[in-house]
Amino acid sequence: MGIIIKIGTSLLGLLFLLIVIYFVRKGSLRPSYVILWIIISLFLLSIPLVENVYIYLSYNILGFQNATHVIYIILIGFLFVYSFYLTIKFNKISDQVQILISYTAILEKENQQKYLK
Amino acid sequence: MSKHKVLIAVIAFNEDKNIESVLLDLTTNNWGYDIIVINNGSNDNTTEICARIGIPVISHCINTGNSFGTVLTYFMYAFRNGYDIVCQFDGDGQHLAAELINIVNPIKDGDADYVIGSRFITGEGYQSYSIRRIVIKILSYIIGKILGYNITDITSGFRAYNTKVIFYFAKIYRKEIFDGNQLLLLSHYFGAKIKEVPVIMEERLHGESEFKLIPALAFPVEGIINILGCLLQSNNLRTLRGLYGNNN
Repeated sequence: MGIIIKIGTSLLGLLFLLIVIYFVRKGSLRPSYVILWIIISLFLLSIPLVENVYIYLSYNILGFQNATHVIYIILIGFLFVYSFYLTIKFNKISDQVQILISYTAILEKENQQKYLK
Repeated sequence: MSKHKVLIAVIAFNEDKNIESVLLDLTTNNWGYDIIVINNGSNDNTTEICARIGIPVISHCINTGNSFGTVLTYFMYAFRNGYDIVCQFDGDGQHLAAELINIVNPIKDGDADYVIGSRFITGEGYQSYSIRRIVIKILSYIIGKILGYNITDITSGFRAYNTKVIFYFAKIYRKEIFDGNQLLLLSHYFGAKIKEVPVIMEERLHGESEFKLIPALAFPVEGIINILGCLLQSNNLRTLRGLYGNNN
């Protein structure tokens, strides 16, 4: 792996980690939602540090000719998992919104009745 | 006349041209039921017209899609106010107040927990457009196979439910409902007895129906996906029936 790619991925990983930490500190991101993003940052940071592990994984275990393919697959895998997690989350929120719309509508009607009495 | 407390939930979304005649039909034929209008986020004068006639309205702050977005609201309202029977009644003029007794009677007699008013049994009155009718037939056939008896009109918005179904949707299964297939299958898995009775429907009075080209194309796909979804959930839903089966 070239030195430029190593520096590039480390910087990207570090930048990503700092951005995630910044938003968690600001309160815009809940810690439970950012676990996967932190793992991705750490993974990017780990590439130049444990390069040999990925090379070993790709040549000896997975049978890839190029170590970068393993990195792509891991990154895409992360994104799949995260999209699926978000779909489940979205579904839950959608149900909750439906309950809230129904409930607020009923409460509003009951409140109006109280004022009209 | 009746010892059962009956609620008629009129579903309305931008129906200011139709709602007045629908409500007058319901009030003149009233045999002892309460009427509530569920306004699904209309931005016209639907609420004002209902207020003028003196019918209470529950207004959604935003539109929740098709009429199935209002199902949870009337179940929750019926549960909070102790109704024994709740009927869904469309605010577009397709349903007739004189036919209400046909869908309420099987519940009063204890023959069913969930009654569907079907326009296809006798074939009288408005029958919907042909492509949609074919899709309804196919979906009804699939649902019929799952239930073990024939259903002819799974999309009918003219339905009545008893306390068992009200309790289930208001307290146990509080989730988004997308279409009639889902509502029917969920009720079936919860142990509700389903019955279809013949009714006569009319064509909507004014304006376009909620069914347009893209929704009409998506309708069979969504139908099948919802049926598959319910089949996958069936074991869990049957477990729920075991837990709450005796609650009426």
